[in-house]
Amino acid sequence: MRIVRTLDLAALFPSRNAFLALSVASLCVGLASARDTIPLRTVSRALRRAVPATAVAIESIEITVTAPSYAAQAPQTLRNPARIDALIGSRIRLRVRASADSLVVQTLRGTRTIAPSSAELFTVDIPADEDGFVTLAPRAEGGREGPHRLVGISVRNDQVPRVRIAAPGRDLFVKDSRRSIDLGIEAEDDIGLASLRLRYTKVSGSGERFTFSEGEVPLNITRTSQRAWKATGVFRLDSLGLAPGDMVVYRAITTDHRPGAPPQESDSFIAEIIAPGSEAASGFSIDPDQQRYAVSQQMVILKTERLIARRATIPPDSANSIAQEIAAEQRKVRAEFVFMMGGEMADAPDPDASMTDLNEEAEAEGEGDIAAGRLANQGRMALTRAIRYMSRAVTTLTSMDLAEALKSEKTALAQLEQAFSRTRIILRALSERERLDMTRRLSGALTDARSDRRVTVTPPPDARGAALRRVLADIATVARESGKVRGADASGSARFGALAEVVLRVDPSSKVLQKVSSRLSEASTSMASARPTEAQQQLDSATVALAAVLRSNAPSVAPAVSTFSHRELGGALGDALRAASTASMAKPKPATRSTSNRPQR
Amino acid sequence: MATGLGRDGLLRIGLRAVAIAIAIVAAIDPAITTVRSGRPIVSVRAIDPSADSALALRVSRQLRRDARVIPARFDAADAVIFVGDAPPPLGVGADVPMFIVPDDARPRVLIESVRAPSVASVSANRRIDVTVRTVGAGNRTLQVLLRNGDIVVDRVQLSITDDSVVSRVQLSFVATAVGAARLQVEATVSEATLRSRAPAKIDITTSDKLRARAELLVDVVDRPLSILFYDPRPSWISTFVRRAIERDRQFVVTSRVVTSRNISTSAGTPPDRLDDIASIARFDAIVVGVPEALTDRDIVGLEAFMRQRGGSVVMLLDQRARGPYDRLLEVREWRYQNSGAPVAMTLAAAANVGLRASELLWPAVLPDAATAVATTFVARNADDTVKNAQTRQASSGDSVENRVVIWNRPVGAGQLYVSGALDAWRFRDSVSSSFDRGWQVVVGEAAVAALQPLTATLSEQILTPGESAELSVVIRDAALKPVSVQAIRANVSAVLESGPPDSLQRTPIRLWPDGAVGSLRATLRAPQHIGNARVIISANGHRVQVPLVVDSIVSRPIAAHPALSTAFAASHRGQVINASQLATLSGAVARSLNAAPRRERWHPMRSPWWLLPFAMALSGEWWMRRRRGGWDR
Repeated sequence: MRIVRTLDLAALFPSRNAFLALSVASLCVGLASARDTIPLRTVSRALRRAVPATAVAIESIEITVTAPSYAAQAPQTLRNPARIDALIGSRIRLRVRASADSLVVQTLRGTRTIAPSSAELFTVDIPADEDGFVTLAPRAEGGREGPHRLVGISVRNDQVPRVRIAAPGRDLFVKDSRRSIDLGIEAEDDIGLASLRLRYTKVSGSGERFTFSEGEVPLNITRTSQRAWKATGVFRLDSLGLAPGDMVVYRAITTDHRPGAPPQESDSFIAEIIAPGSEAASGFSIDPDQQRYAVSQQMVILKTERLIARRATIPPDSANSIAQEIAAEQRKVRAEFVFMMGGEMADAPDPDASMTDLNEEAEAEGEGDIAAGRLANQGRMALTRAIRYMSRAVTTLTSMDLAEALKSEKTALAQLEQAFSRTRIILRALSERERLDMTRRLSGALTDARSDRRVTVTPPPDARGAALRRVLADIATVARESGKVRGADASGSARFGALAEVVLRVDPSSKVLQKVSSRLSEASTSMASARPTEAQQQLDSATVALAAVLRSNAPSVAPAVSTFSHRELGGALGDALRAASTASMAKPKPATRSTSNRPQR
Repeated sequence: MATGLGRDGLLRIGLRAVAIAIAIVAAIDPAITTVRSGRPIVSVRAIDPSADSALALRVSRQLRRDARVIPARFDAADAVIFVGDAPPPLGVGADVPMFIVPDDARPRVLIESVRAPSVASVSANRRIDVTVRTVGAGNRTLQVLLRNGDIVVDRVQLSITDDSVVSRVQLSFVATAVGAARLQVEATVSEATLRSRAPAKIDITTSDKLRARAELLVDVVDRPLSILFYDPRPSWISTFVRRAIERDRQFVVTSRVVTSRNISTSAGTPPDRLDDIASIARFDAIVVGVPEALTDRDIVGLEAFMRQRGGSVVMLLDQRARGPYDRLLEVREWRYQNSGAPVAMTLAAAANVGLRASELLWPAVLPDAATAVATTFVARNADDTVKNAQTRQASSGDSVENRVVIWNRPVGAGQLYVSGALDAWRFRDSVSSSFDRGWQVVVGEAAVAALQPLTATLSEQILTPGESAELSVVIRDAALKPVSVQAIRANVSAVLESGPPDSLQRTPIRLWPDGAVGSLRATLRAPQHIGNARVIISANGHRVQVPLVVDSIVSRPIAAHPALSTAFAASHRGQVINASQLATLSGAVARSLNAAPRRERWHPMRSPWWLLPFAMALSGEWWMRRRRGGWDR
């Protein structure tokens, strides 16, 4: 077309003069023959009555998305949408007005054909339970189908409500059981909250005799909106009758309106009445995330050193509080080693007693171990000493004797290092289940060693990429064939509609592919309506996005454009340069180290 | 008699006689030869018919009054006018005045070059580098599209800030199927300014000056690249690079890891040794871990692989240790750095792919003819670029920036790649490092660079009917034969297949030696019918085919070289006259010609104006007869 526009007809066919001469000559002949010319008969015009073929087409689609009743949302009505965004569990009703005898409805679940509910009106109900699409194809009685319409479906999950205890938002270790805790709780949900409570578990007792009792703290709830609540409350510990060493574990619980949805809990926090040597009972209050940051003995020492350095600049109350936290952490570390030792340190010796004093009762119980020589293990003894120093550190931290605490902590660390030094290995018997499979160990006779030959690794086929490449190729094919059609192209429109469906089938949840599908669907509609320019733009948008998806699977590599001559020349140049510098070339020098002295191997 | 006929009768006879006389003389068509100062014959040729036809037409119209214009190549012309921006083609013919009329319209856009591979794997994306020149298009938007057939597969938009700008654009080609893919790069300048990331709508009625096209043909193949991993002892870096390569479908990996004396773990059927060129020639690239453990014989084998096979060798260092391999590397002095923290490296072939390593080993000075494959780069912010980093390094001497850690150098016709990213294998987390992709790019680049047994290239793969193209054929084993081999035999044949599959035409192509051993050439003339064709070359049991497309319109890049055009015109007694000064062209052509009289033949009866008196005579005679009321008188 570009070339045709540039053509000069006068230059291509230089017939202007001839045409002029011929015209004048014809005029002369015409004038001569005008005399007595028989009047031309009137030519009757036959107008063919244009009888429009009965078109099979969808005129309009009205979609009503009714959210689940618990969401308490008004039904949403859309007209001719390309995509529906619905909450999971919603009911999607399509009212399709079409000039057709039946409507073929295709979804990821399958295909069904429905009859009109009234004149040219079809009603389809689809549950919104997963991402997908619905393809609507009007069909005439003879089986002739009109242009398809594709509507993508994005299903939005109902998010679980989130709740957190904003205040105090940390574990508390208090000396006074008559204290009150001011609580601040925040909860939110994407649809609406149903309830918010604060529940606690009181843990009292010691050893293996724990007593649990549960209760609830009344809250003042401020409903900022249906989706965001705030609550405050006062947790009065005196009403629980807590004794030293007892603790209370509390967490906030919230629910939304979704039937059958489990309540969601906040992180749990503890409030513990401090008793010398006590520690947080495991299994109740240690949040998994906090476990991740379980402190080491080295960290306890570091924190204590920092507290000593800051002590003069912070209020005594704060220093005391920090010291209590460090003591709690020291107890956790100690507990780890106590459990490692088998738990026999539960009756921990009096930390104030001499390190050389023996607990005769415990010694008698461990007589069997002594007889077997197991306690001769120096590592175990060092570990025992480390635990005892940790206990002493807890006591001195509680009493704010930080210097002494630091000393005990460092001694404990030294004992730990001795226990875990290279010469000390703590062994334990392996259970039957844990027994080593010697056939899988790198052991055996050297003479038995043989070379191993494996099959070549073949990567699994990229089914998704292959499917998308096929779609891109099909789009090119349809675009090429449709480019030859002038006006409305029903065939091309139908094929683009089908390709939009194929794209969604590859991955209904992919946002990019949803966009590609929408563009193809729009191009299909534009093509059916004889709007080629719009169709082309929508098609370009779809193909560019689809190609970008394919490109994301592998990097685009720069073109290596070099001919054999270039390669040969490059090699010859390298050889010539090498030959020229051979005389001056010394032996390779060892690496010059910039930042470290890495030895050569 | 005269009285009987009357005056009307005489007039009727006279008119009839005139008409008959005109008819008889017209049938004879007499030729008359005269000597006179005739109009010069000027050949007007569009350098690129797809882009310059419109201007060529303007030039023809301009000259038509003063010269006989032949809008094509005409060797007997008195003067030749080349129309277009590119320099005229070589071998333009007679020693006559030659003028060049470049287009100086403003604004306008030109695609100066398109750099793309002629062959691409179906499972790999290939970058296409396009250079676009815009003139007088300041404050407008340049959109560059890549079309594969009838669909757009990539699109880049740029804001043009200056009056004359050369923009380098990177597009990416995604293959959809095996076979020849006809791609078209289209650059369009629009009035719209680029304010958002959304594509600006380009008016499809944009004039030709604001749109340029260039076409190319890429042969998409599904030939996996054959890679051999050879570790004289187990190596972390080699192991993890091998796994990355094994995950890519464009490679077929064969491996041998020597785990102890006489004991190895192998996959596929690897060669036992590297010193046997016959057993390693089937691989495109050989990746070697722990190169310091290679023997002298292994090094000789690898060098032969590069020089005689044109293959690529990738050496993955994991420490600096001396060994026979130093002879191939030719590095005088090494630098080592352990930065503690990982340092990013960007690949020259794929800027968006990065590797990381903390232990780096690089040559203090790159060996002769070596080029960088991966360079360290410390991004200061999200918008930082490698260029900025190079500037920083140059100005501050930063010890981490711009270190060439992976590099290659030619060894004969082959390539040697060396990686000093000693512990890159430690940084394989896909969130912070593209370890897999990075090594897939490096090893892929090395393998693609390996020479095939038979190579054929066409100077142009999209031709107009009858257009000529140069075919070059290289038989690798003959071209790279060692000096010790005195003679080598090769049977080679080439044929052009064109036409529809049911009536395929096979035209033999005669190949001529091209100077060097193993190199042959031929001049190919495109078939007259439009469609796909292919050139098939066979030699010594190997076969290669080059796709070809014949079309009536071909768009090619136009690289303007004003100085070259001026020199060309001046050396042919002509000059360069811009399109905006077209009015002066006739005078310039006339001044350059010797307006001597010459003999000319002409046919007076070939003027259409003779039709007029002929018709008037006949009509007048007929009218008079009918006025008298008779048909037979």
